[in-house]
Amino acid sequence: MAMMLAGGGRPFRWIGLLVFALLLGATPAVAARFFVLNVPGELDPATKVRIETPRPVQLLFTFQTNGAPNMRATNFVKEQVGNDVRGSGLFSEVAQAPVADGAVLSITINNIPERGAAGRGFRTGLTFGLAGTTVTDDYEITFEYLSGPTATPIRRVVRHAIRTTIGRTDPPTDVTRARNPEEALRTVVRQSLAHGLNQLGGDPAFVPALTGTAPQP
Amino acid sequence: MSRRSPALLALLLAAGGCTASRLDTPQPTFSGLQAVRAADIPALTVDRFAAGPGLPRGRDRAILIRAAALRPPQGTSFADYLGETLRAALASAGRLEPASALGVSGLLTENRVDSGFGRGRGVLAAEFIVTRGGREIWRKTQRVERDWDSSVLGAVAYIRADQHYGALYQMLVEALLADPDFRRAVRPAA
Repeated sequence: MAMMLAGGGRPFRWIGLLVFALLLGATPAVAARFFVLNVPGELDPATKVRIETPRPVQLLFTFQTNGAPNMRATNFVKEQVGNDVRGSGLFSEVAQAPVADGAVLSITINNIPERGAAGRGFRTGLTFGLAGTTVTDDYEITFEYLSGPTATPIRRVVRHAIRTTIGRTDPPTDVTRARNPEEALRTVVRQSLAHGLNQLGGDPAFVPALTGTAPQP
Repeated sequence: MSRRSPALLALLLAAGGCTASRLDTPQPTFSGLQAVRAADIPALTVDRFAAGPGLPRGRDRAILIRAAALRPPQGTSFADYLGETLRAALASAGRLEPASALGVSGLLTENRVDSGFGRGRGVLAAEFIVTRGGREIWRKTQRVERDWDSSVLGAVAYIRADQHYGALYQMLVEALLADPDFRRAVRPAA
C-alpha cells in the first residue's frame, strides 16, 4: 500500500505520503477494546460448596461456535478448564480417560457471536473507526454431570458475554475492561466455571453428603 | 497442537487472501461418549481407514474453501481423521481395545464442502467394515450432511466452513454408533 501511494518519483509522491501518514494516524481509532460483563462475576467464596468425599471424574470439554465444535478454541482453553475443575475441590481426580466409578463431567462452551458483527466491523474499518460499533459475543456454558454409567445427568447452564467496541463509540455499561481478547475469554471461562461447578456441587444428586450453602441455578 | 485463536486465524486469512489451515486433533465429546454407552458394545479396535476408490484424487488430503485449502493434521489424511475420531469416542467410554479380535475399518467415499455467499454445506460419507478375527462380518455406508450460514467475507466463510466441516466427523461416527445393524454386528455371537 505504501509503495502504491508513494508512487516512486511521480509528481504526487508527497501528497501520497501525506495521505498515507494521515491514514496511519487514523488507524488507532479502529482499535478494538474488550469488556467482560460484570454478571455473573467472580464467585463469592462464602457461597462455595464443599464436598466431604470428592470422587474422581472424567472430564470432557468442547468449545463450540454457534453450536459447531471449534477444535482450535477447544485446544486453546482446554488446559485452563482442566485446572479450574481441579481447583473447584469437587473432585479427587480429574482425568481424560474413564475413571473407576464411571463419573463424567462434560463442559461445553458455546460462543454465539452477534449476527452481522463481521459486516459491522468491516464498515468500521472502512471509515477508519469514525463509524464505531459495539458487538457482543454471548457465551452459553453447559455443565452435565453423570455420577455413574446409569446415572441421570445433572445439568446446569451459565451465561456470560464479552462486548467489543471498535472505533469511536461509547463504552458499554456494567462491564470490566480486559487488556486483550485472550484475557477477556479467560475471565469468562474462569467465572463461568466457578459458578457452574458450584451449582453442580450444590445439587443434592451430586453426592449424598455435602456441606455449605447450595446455590440456586 | 495448534494454539491459534479464531481471531488470529481470521486475521491471517484476511491479510493473506488465501492460505491453508489444518484440522486439529479430534477430541472426545459427551455426545460421542453417550453414543458408545448407549450402543452397549464390546471393546473394539480401530483398524485402517483409507480413501475409497471413488473419492476424487486429492480429496483425502485437502479440500478447498473459497481460495483456501483445509487439510487434515500433519502427516495424515481425512480418512485417518475419521478413524481417529472413532478412536477418541471409543476411548472416552473405555471401549477401545487394540488387542480386540473385533475391528472397525473404513473407506472414505464422499468428502466435500460448498461454501457459497449465503449458505454452506458439507457432506461426508464412509463405508464402514467390521471384522471378527480378520474375517469381514459387516459392511455398510453411512452418510451425513450439515448446512450452515456462510458469508460474503471470505475469511468469515472459511472459519465457519472449517468449524462445521470438522463437526461432520463426529456426526458420522455417531451415525455409525447409532446404527442398530452395526450394534448387532459387533455384539458377541449368541
